[in-house]
Amino acid sequence: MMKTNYEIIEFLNRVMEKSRSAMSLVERIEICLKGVGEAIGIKKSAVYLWSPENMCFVEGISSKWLPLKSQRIISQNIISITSEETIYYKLRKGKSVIIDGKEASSYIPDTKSIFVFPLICKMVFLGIFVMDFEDIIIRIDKNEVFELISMCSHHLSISIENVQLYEKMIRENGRYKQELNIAYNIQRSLLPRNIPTIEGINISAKSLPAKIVGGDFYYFRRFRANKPEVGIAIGDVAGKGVPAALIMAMALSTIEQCVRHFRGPEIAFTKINSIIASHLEKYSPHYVSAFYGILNLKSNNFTYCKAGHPPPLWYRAEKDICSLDAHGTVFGLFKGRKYEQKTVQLKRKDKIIFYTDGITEARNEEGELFGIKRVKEIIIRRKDLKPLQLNTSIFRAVKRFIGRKTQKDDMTLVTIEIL
Amino acid sequence: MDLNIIEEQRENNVTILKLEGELDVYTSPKLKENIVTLIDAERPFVVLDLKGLSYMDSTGLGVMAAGLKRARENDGNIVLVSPRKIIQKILEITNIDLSLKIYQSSEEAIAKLAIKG
Repeated sequence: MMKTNYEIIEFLNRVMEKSRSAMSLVERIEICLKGVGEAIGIKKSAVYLWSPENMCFVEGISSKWLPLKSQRIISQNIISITSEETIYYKLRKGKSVIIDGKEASSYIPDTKSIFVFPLICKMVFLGIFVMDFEDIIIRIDKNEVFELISMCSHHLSISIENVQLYEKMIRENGRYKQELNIAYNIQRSLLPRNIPTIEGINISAKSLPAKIVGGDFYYFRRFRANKPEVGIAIGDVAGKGVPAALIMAMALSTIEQCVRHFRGPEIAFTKINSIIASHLEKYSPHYVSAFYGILNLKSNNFTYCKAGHPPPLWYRAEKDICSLDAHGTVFGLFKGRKYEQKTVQLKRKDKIIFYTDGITEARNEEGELFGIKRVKEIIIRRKDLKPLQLNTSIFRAVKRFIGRKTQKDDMTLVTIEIL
Repeated sequence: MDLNIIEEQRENNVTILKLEGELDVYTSPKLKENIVTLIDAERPFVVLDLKGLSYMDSTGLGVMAAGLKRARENDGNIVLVSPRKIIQKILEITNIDLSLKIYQSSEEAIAKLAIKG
């Protein structure tokens, strides 16, 4: 055993350092109690952890020299709250107490009296550090022993608080992840469950959020009344994760309603912008980009509008690729904007590839962007591919390109082919 | 990467903010704070010099657009100077360049600042 206080303090500091590397709270406390025993000879000791919910001690961890270990003990005596002078209140106020007789043995077997030191951190009562009182009074000068015990108790309190905070964080993280998974399923159900089978065209869609939930969306609408038409929309909310997902739900719902009521893209877009802008708060930095077009299945005319979204690529069979561009700003920022409506004539084997900027702005480890050029190259090189295979091919190319880098933004592709 | 903002005060309540680095979801709160502080201090005319901005994402763009709305409500304006090609492209695709006007120099921007988009 160490002789000088300096040696003892140095040793105890090293013990406390060592205890911090232990993962479990029980291990940490065992290391501390062992250290206290070796440094100042107080071997009959234990720590009892307090449960504020149950108003009792729920776990006792003893030093290696004692037989009891991690027992659940409920002490009725100590939690009596009928009087101001009760032991519990003294401990809560940070005062140490001495317990004699049979009670002492319930905390440390075969003791006549025990010394109880409260473990408190940031005014929260965490438990008690109990020692055989006889162990203490036969040691070196009483005051110094109490100072050392006080120092150990302080370290124990911090350790307990750290581990409890960490465990709480893990539990809350687990709950948060559960909620995110539920949100993921809800968001998936907002998107078209099945790709519609529509005579005359082949459609495929693929979407991959960067985090579990995201801001990308797509939408199909088969109009049955008097005209054989199908509406196709793609969109992207600025940002990602939960905030983008919430706005995505609102934006998609708005688009669905407006597209149903106002068939023409231009009128629908003016209305959609007004509604989304009014839903977002005054200085919200959020906005939604979208592209929507109606394909007439008889004439193959495609009428569309663009709201600040990357213009889709129009692959003209055996000819070239061009962009379907039009004037129109993103939804949600400025009210009263106009949207330019355009119409193109599609032919058999033509394809339209709608995408979100998560595809073109994907970066590799060198910081290079995937870019629209690479997308066009794949479309031309693999002109034989059906929409499903083409989407898969482009996604694979992006994944290969980014390598080990994590996906930074949501990625979506919708491809249609005129049969 | 970080965002550096260098402030240069000019007469007639105009401030030039030179942005250097990247404007994304992590750094855009800094720009938002700067703009709000200027507008609250009755300096609602802001020139954003983007020569030194190497990257901007949708959050960054959203903060600039929201800043413009706030400036206009306080009878001010926000304009942009010399965005790099990649950033100019984002402004064009989203058509936000119709509202956030782009100029080739701070002097040109300051001269046109009083004209709303």
